[in-house]
Amino acid sequence: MRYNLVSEDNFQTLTVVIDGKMVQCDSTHPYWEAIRQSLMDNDGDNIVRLVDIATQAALQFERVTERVSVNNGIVRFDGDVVDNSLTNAIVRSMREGQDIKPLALFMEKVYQNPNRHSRDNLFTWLKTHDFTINAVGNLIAYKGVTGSGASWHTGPGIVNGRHMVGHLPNDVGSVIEMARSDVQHDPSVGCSTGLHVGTYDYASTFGSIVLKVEVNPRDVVSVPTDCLWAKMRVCRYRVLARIENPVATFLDEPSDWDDDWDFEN
Amino acid sequence: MRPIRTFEGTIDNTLDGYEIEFSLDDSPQGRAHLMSLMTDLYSDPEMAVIREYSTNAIDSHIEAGVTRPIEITTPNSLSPYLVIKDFGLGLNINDLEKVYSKYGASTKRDSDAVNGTLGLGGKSAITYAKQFSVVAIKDGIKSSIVVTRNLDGIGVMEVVDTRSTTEHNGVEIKIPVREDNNINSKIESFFYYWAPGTVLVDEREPSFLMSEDGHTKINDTTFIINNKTRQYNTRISHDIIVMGNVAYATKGKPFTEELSESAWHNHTVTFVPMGAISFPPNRESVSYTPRTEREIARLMAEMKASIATSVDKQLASAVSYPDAYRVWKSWGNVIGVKNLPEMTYKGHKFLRVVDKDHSFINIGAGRYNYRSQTSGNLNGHSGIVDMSTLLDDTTLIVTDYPNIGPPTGGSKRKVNQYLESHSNVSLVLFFDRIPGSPWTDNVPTIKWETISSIKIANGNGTRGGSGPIPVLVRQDSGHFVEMPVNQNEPIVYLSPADWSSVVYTVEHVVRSLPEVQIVQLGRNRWEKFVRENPSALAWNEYYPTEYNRVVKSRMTEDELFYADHDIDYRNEANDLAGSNDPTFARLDKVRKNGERHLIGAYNRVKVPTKDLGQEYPLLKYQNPGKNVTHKIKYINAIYKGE
Repeated sequence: MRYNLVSEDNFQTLTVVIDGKMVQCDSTHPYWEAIRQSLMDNDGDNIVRLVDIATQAALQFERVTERVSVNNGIVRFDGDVVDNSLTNAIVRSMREGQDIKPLALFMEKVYQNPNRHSRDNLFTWLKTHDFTINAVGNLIAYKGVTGSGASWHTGPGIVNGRHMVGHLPNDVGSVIEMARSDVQHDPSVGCSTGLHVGTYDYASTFGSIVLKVEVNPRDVVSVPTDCLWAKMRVCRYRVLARIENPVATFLDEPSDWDDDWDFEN
Repeated sequence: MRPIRTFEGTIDNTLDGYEIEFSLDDSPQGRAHLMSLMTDLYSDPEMAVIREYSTNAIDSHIEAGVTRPIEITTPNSLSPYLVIKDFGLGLNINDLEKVYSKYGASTKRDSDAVNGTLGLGGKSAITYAKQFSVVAIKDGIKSSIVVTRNLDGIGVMEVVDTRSTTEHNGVEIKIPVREDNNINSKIESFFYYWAPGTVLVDEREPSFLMSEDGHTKINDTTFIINNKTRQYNTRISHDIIVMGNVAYATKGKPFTEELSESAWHNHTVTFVPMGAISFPPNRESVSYTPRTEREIARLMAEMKASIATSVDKQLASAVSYPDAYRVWKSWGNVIGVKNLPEMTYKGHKFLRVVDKDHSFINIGAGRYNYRSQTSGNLNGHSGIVDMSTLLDDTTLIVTDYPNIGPPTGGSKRKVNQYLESHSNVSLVLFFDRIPGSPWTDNVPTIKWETISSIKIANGNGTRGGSGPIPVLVRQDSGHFVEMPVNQNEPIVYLSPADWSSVVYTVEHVVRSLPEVQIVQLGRNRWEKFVRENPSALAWNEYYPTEYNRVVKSRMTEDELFYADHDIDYRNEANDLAGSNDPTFARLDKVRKNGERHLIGAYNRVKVPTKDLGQEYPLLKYQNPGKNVTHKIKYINAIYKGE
């Protein structure tokens, strides 16, 4: 094994040559520490394996779904190249040593979203924030509510199948929904109709209680461009818990809510 | 490309002094300094590597006569490399040395068919990356090199491998990219000006100007881009000159500023031959040398002449006044009507508007109607009408209209009824007689008496009347359309005021039971409607009790069993089907073969009562798909049998 390691300002790049094959990476690689260790151990084969995360991702997806493929570092869902935000999520998942299945479920749900513009909006949100998903592939988001646990703004909505108007109760375990067609689709409209959830930082500026909610990516309608894409309008979510800190990991603890429980197709 | 001489004049020197020609400092420090200047000359290193290596690649295809596209692989977090691959001449060690280690050396100075000439671009990647690799194949020899810098900052090319191969000639350059790069969007804008068939990006053709709408072709080399018709990210803000596949943004708008005052949103893209304009060594802009100024003036004159020729030619082939008008108008949209030369068709001057009192109904342009999710119409009257509107196929022109002024309610209802069979109409204009002769002489019109003779059905928007009530029935599209109900299928009615709060539930209902007809009807008409349709149920009578009864009647015993078990049971069914507890096998069977949309519908009203945690508390805290063997042992230990 021969190599060239260039270091400058805590940033390192490495080229390794083994039997005429060259691999390159830098210190932002998810497995950089393991690669460095392998370099010290003179274990070239392991370096080649570690550097090529695309192949590792491909093997993991092969085990859980036929709909996601990885070839030459390009990730496809049902043959279409996916947005880079999803590719980044794969790397985050691998970096944290997580099972790839929740992410595969998440991707399937993203592509169930009936509106392409809504999907593009969602990708913007995913790109902008270090998001979290749960074991069934739903997106974790946050919502600020009043001290009594009701929505901050008033409006019509369906809470656990019951139609209500006003400050909607957001009790833990509740499913809140409204007609997708009533949710403002235009992301350039800042404050408008729809069920709003957002990042922890955004949600904690509203009300006195922050709720952790889960959203099926299919139910995302738009991501308003104001507030630095920190909020999103959805047509359905479920309240999971009252919290005081955001979930810091890519994968949240398992959820007891499977969205096809009440909406099977 | 042949080098461009920057000085094109003559010299008459009688100073007769002692001449000392400029030279380069040959000391190690001097060389390092000069090389760093030549390496770090790009203000946009990302665009530089895209531009320099892809033009090198396509140059190689041109020289080798290869017609297949070059291939670009864009970086992402799984594979953080920009890869540029060609299948052209290939390079051997000597070529590699010239391209990657010698500043100012170029193999392309004998022809204007290709781009390269400066001898700088091949090194551009080390201004961006600390090291990059090149694998080149030529005549059966595969050479691998790494290009990096030494501690003095001087570029170093290191040959790491040579071996024989049967692979096709070509070069693959692989450049590691930084995490926070903008390479993908730059690739999109760079290759936009390439010709279809020349490049694949991630195995697909990128967007090409020449393959897209939203531009007008002036001649074979000049296009006017209409920013108004384009997506925001494909709009351009300068007039562009493309030479050798490289788009050079000009300062301001040398072409369109003069050409089009009113069409301010338009810009030109002009393709010029290699060597036509000057550019600085970094190729990032146009150098305004006399050569460039001359070329811009030439292009300007050529563009004006082409436009005049095109308009004349198209007008000559117009077969009617409306046809000619559309030609005139379309060019007016491109360069501004005021900039069009004075023109006539069959001796008649083109008119933009005509003065004529008229009434109008603009379909769907009125205030948004929240309840019906549609727009109403905008009604009014005016004294000026746009000629292009008169000639538009979607305009319905009504003549012999007696009362020019805001259309009356009766007129609007009759027009609405008429439009039910003319859905393409977007505007209705009412005149006593159509203006704009001779341009409008053959435009189809309809006399008002034809519309005024339409009988409005009883009860349609009016009180009283007899006969069945026409009602709004929900369609598969989600919209309501006025139509009769089918007495043989379930009918559920609700008021417009109730609609917004139940709309999502209605979606579920019609998804699971498509035969249900949802009718929207004002409360004051419910009584009569029920008399006419005794089987009809109000929404609150139907949902959830009757709905769930019907859903349940269509489910099998197994499906009902499945519906009564919570999601944890269902998620584990597949893995635990082999346990002693037959519940899991039964659930698994339904999960694979059952009518799950009915189960979902049923659970929407009636939630499961069987909680996995009640029977097998430890399973509640295990992830599905994990520790299956242990789980089965656990179930078998607890399960007591039926």
